[in-house]
Amino acid sequence: MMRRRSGIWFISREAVDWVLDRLATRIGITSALMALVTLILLAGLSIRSSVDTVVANSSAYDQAHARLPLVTMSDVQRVQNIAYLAHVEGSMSEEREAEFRAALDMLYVRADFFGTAVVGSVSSPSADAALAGLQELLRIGDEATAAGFPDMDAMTFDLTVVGDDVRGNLAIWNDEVRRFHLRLIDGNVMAFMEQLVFTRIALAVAGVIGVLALLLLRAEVLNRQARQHAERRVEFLAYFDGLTELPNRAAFQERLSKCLESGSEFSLMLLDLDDFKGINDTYGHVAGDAILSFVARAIASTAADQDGFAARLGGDEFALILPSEEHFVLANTAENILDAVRAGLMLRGDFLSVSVSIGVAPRSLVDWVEGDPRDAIVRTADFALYFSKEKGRNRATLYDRGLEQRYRRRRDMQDELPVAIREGSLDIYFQPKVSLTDRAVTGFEALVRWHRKGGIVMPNEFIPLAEESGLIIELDLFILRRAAEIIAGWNKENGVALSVSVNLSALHLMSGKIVREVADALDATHLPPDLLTLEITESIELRDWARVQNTLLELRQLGCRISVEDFGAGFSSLAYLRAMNADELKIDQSLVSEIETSEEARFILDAVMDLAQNLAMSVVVEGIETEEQAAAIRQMGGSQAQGYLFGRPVPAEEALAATRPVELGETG
Amino acid sequence: MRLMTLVLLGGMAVFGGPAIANPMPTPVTLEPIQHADASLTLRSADGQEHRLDMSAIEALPTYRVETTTPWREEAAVFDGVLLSDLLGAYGLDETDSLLVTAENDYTTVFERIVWQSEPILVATRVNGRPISRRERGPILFVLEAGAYASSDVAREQHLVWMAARIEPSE
Repeated sequence: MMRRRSGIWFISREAVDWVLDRLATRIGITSALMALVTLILLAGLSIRSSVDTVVANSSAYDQAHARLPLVTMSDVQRVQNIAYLAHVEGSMSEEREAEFRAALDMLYVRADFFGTAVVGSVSSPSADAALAGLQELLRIGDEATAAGFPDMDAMTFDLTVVGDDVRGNLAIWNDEVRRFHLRLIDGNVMAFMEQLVFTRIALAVAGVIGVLALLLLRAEVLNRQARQHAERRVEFLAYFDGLTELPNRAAFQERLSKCLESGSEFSLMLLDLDDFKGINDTYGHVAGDAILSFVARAIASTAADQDGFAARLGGDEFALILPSEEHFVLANTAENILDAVRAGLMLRGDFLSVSVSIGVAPRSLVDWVEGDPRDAIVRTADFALYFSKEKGRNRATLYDRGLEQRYRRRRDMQDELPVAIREGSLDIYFQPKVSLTDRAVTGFEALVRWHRKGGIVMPNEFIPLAEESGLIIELDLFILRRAAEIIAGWNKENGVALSVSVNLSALHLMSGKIVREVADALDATHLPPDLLTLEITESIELRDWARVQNTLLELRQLGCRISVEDFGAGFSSLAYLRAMNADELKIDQSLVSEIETSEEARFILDAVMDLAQNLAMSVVVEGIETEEQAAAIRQMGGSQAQGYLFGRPVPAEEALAATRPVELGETG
Repeated sequence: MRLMTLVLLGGMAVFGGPAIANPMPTPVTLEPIQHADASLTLRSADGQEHRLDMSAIEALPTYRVETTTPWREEAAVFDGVLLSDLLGAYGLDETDSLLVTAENDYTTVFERIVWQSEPILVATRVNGRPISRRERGPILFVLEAGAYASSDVAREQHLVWMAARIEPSE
C-alpha cells in the first residue's frame, strides 16, 4: 500500500484506488458525508465554545471594572480637594458648598456602584475595606453638610484620614483587579490556542476528504474519458479501417447502397495492389502496412479532390466511389491514382516500388445485371480489375460495352458450367504422346472441350472460371473418369496398353479425397494403374507441402504415375520438383520454341533434361511443332514428345482411331 | 438536498440565530417641571457648541420607558428624548463615532451602530420628577432592560449617567 522512494513515502496507486472504490459505495459515501457533517458540527461547537469563553471573559472584565478603583480615587480626591480648599479659605462659601454637595453626590453614586460591583465577582478584603471607607466619607460629608459645617478642621482632617485609607485599599484592590484581568486574557489566549488545535485537526481531516473527493472526481472524469474514447474507437472501428483510417467494407456497403438508392450516376473503382504478397514476403509486414497506408493516402486524396468515397475492403483491396460516369473523368482519375502510387515510397532507406491494378464500373452499365445491384456493380468492377491484372497489372480497365459482352459471356458460362459437367456436354479430346525413336503413340493427354451454343469453348477460357468457382475439382474428376473409361475400353477392345494422362489441379493435393476418387475410377474401368498418369499443373503455389507429399505418396501407392506439367513456366523451382517426387517431367513448350535459334535455349533445355535424368524422371517435351525441334530434342536424349507435329488435340475416339497398335510392354 | 438543509439548520443552531427587533419607547407628552440646574453640551461636526438645558432637551419628541437598570432592581418610569433624535437635531447622527463625557469626567465612545440600532433614551425624568445626581441624573442614558440584554452592540458603558457633553470622537 505504501512505497518509499527517495526517502519519501508514497501511497501506491492501488491503495488510492482501493480507498476510492470503497468511498464510491453507498456505505462509503454515506460515511464520508456523515464524517463531514460531524466535522462541521464539531467545528461549530468548538468555535461556539471559544466565543462563549471570550464573551464570558469579556463580561467578567466588564464586571471587574478595571477603571473603578482609579475613578473612585478621583471621586475621593474631588471631595477631599473641595474640603481642603474650604479649609484654606477658612469657611465654606455657597459656591464651594454646591461643589462639595455635587462631589458628595458623585461619590455617593460611585459608592453605590462600587457596592454593586464588590457584591459581584470582584469582592476582596481590600475592596470591602475601600467600600466601608467610602461610606464613612459620605457619612462625614453628609453630616457636616447637614450641620452647616460647624467644624471645618475636624471635617477636613477626618476626610483626609479616611480618604487616604480608602485610596490605599483602592490601590491594593487595583492590583488585584489587574491580576484578574491578566487571568482573563490568559483564558482568552488558551481558548484561541485550543481553537487553533481543533481548527488544524479539522482542516487536516477536511483536506484529506477534499483530496479524496478530488481524486474520486478525477478518477471518474478519466474513466468517463476512457469510456468515451473506447466508444468512439469502437464506433470508428465499426466503420473504419484501423490501419489506413479509411472507411471499411461495412461503411463502403452502406455508402454503395445509398448511391444505388439515390439513383444518381456514379462509378465504382476497385483497386488491388500488384504482388502485395511478394512485397510482404520480401520486405516484411511492416513494409506491407506502410505500403497499404501509402496507397490509401493516394486514394483518399483523389477521393477528396473528386468528392468521392474511398474505402479499404480488406487485405490489399480498395474501393473508390466516384460521382461521375464520364469516361474521361474516370480515366483521368484512374491515371492520377496510378501515377501517385507508381511514385513509390521510401521506407527505412529502401525505395519500395508499388503499383495497383484498377477496374472501373459505371453504374449505368450494370443495370441489366440481375440480382442484388450492389453485388452486380462490385462483380463488374471486379471483372474489369481482373482484366487489368490479366493484361499485365499496373493499369486501369474501364468496364465498357466490349467488356460487358465478355462479362455476360463469362457470367453465362459460370452459370452453365455446372450443368455442362453434370449433364456430360463436355467432350474429352486426346492429344498423342509419341516415342521420338519410332514416332509410335505411347499414350494420350486427355483434354476437355466444351460444346456450347454451336461452338467450342477452349479450356483456357472456362478452366479459370472453374478454378474461381471451385468447380475445377468436379471438372477434373469428370475428365479423369471419362478418360480412364475411354482408354480402358480402347485397350481392352484392341488388346493394347495405351496410357492416358489427366490434368489435376494442385488443389486436389490439399485434400485426400482425390486418392479415393482415382481408386474408384481405376476400379470402375479396370484400367491398370500404371497406364494412368496424373499431371499436376503447377500454376498455383502450394503451401502445405507435408499434406501434398502425403497425397502424392498415396496416389503413387495406387500404382499411378505422377507428372509435373508445364515445367519451366509458372512457379517452377528445384525445391518444388524435389518435393513432388514425380515420375515424369513435362517440359513446357516455352523452353522448346527457341531451341532452333537460341544456343541459350538449347543449353537450358539440355540442363533440364539432365536434371530429370539424374532424378530418375522420364521426360516428355511439349509443344514440338517442327521436325527440327523433334530432331534437336532427340539429339539431346529426349525420348517422348507431344505437339502439333505429332497430332493436335482431337475428339478421343478420333485420336484413338489414328493410332497404330503397339506391343504390350513397350510403354510404362 | 435534505442533508444540506440539516447541515444549514445545524450550523444556525451552533453559530446563533438572527437578531430580534427591539421594542420602541412609547411617545409621551411631558408637563413642564422644575429641573435641577444641569445642561448637556453638543459640539457638532463644524465645531459649533450647543448648550442645552433640560427644557431645550425636552423640546424634542419625548418618550417613556419603564424598566430596571443595572443599578436599579425595581422598575422605574423614565422620560426623555431619543438619543438618535437628539443627534439628528444637531447634525451628529451621521457621525461615525461620538465621545460622551459625564460630569465626573467619565468618558465613553459610541459607534454609530449603537444609536442607529438601539432606542437609547436620554432620560431627564424618573417617575415623573427630575433625576437627582444620587439617582445618576440629571441626564441619564437608559435602554430598556430586555433590549439591553438582547443587544449585540449595547454595553453598560453606553448607559451613561450624569451625561454632560457629546462630541464627535477624534
